[in-house]
Amino acid sequence: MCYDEGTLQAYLDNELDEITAKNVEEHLKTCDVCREKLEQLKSINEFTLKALKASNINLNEAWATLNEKLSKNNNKGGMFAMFIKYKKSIAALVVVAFVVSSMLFPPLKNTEAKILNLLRLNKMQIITITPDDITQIQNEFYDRNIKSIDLKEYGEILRSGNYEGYEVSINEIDKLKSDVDYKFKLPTDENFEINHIYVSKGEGFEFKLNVDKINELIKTFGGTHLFPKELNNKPIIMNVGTSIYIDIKEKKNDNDTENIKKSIYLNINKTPEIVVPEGANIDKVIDALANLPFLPDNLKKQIASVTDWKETLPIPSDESTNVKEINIRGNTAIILTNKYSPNMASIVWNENGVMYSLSINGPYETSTDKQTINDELITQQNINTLIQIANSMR
Amino acid sequence: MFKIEESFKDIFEKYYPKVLNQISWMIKDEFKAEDITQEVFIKYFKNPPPHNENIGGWLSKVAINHALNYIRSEKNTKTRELEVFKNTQEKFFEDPEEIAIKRFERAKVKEVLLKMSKRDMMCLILKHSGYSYEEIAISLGIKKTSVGTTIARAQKKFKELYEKEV
Repeated sequence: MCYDEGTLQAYLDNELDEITAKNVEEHLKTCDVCREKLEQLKSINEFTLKALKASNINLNEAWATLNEKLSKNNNKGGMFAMFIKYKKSIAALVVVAFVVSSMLFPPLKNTEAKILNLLRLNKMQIITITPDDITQIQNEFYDRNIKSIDLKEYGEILRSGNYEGYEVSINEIDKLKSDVDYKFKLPTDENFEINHIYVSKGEGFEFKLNVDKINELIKTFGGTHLFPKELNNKPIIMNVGTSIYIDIKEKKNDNDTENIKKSIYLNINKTPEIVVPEGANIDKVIDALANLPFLPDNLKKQIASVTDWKETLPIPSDESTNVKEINIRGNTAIILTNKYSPNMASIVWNENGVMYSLSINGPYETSTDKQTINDELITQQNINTLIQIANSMR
Repeated sequence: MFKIEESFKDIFEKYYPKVLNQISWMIKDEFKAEDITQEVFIKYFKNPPPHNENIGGWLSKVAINHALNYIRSEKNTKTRELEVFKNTQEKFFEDPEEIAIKRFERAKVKEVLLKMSKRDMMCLILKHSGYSYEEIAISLGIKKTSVGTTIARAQKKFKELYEKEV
């Protein structure tokens, strides 16, 4: 008895039970018709397999993202989330700008190359980009009949370093401290405890810019402030280093009958480092950047207002974010809250070459007494909690 | 608050590539596909299926629903995303030339897939995303014994349409 296509396909896909598979195999030995059919299915199978080939997937990164999202109750919030959002969605330009403004490196594989300056970005400045800004940039391009831009003509960005990550159990904190190549502080407030730690190993980006092309574009817009030629096609490397992600839990108070659920989340990074190779003039880069002819005035002003680009990490943000500065152990810290999400807040600061980002999210909406607490109070309570934790860090 | 169990991680590692591939073929914006895939696993984590449920089948079903919801909402809302950056932004970190070729080929494959019946299309996508026959059967609500036949027919159809397309 001959087999139908479905069975042969299942045979091909290893989906038959053992006995049937054995029978098919036996039958194929003697039946030319089925063998022919199988060959045909096989070739079609290979064809579709090739066409629908899976793209490469970075599981570790996906896992880290998921952890991050889960610990934030899947709410967009916090500086890093914002940063990631913008990095990926709006402004490839801003990324390029950000890169150009700050990072100049010798080639990665040629580390013995002469290093002139080591810069540490230990200041932060919020750069607010509104949807209007984006529309305005878009219009500028459309007005000049530039309907699409191929960014790869203007430079390339590659990943360097590895993106591996691993979980660390709470009682291995001492080991973690010796594993990580920088000293960091952890909360010591008795009302809070560490719940979960995830470490993502050294990360970095490598950039190359086609300065001639960028300058050509600037000229198209009538701009005169050009990028220095020395940068042309020189690899630029930015090291982000090892990141530590920590979930913090509020210890339950016995008197507190109500279970107020909040996610608290701490992200620790070494301050991004930048090394400037010989011959490149950062001031010129910043000048060109601040005068990019297609940037709206609002952005130009913000870029120009950064007093020391050599030490400043620009943080893209949007118009729904409220920004306030406070002081944590003598360091300037930025409090970020979101107009539309009163239950989210973040504090970001830099301390001894380490960047901390502490975020809170909650209380989550409960069906009962939702009305009794007002939004402002929630935000203020959250900020107070963050400050309390931040101040307890040793 | 919560502790991420090893078992959840195992499931994630096993199924994330499948779900992501599946969604990538279903929607246009592949960057968005990562987001939707994350949502699927968040749903699994927060609101897991009953114990005896087939996990792959369940995930794939949820993925279909999420992807369809996204496609629907996409039609209704105007996105503010900049066209200028759309083309290059999502695969920023790969070899640009490779990306261009890949994108072209993927676009063609997607076009061909859209010409097929919904069931054939989904069957192909699920198979090549790495789901088992049983998972495909559960996800699409067909009998496990007819999965082979559906795949054989769908693949033949796909090849025909693809070759016509050139």
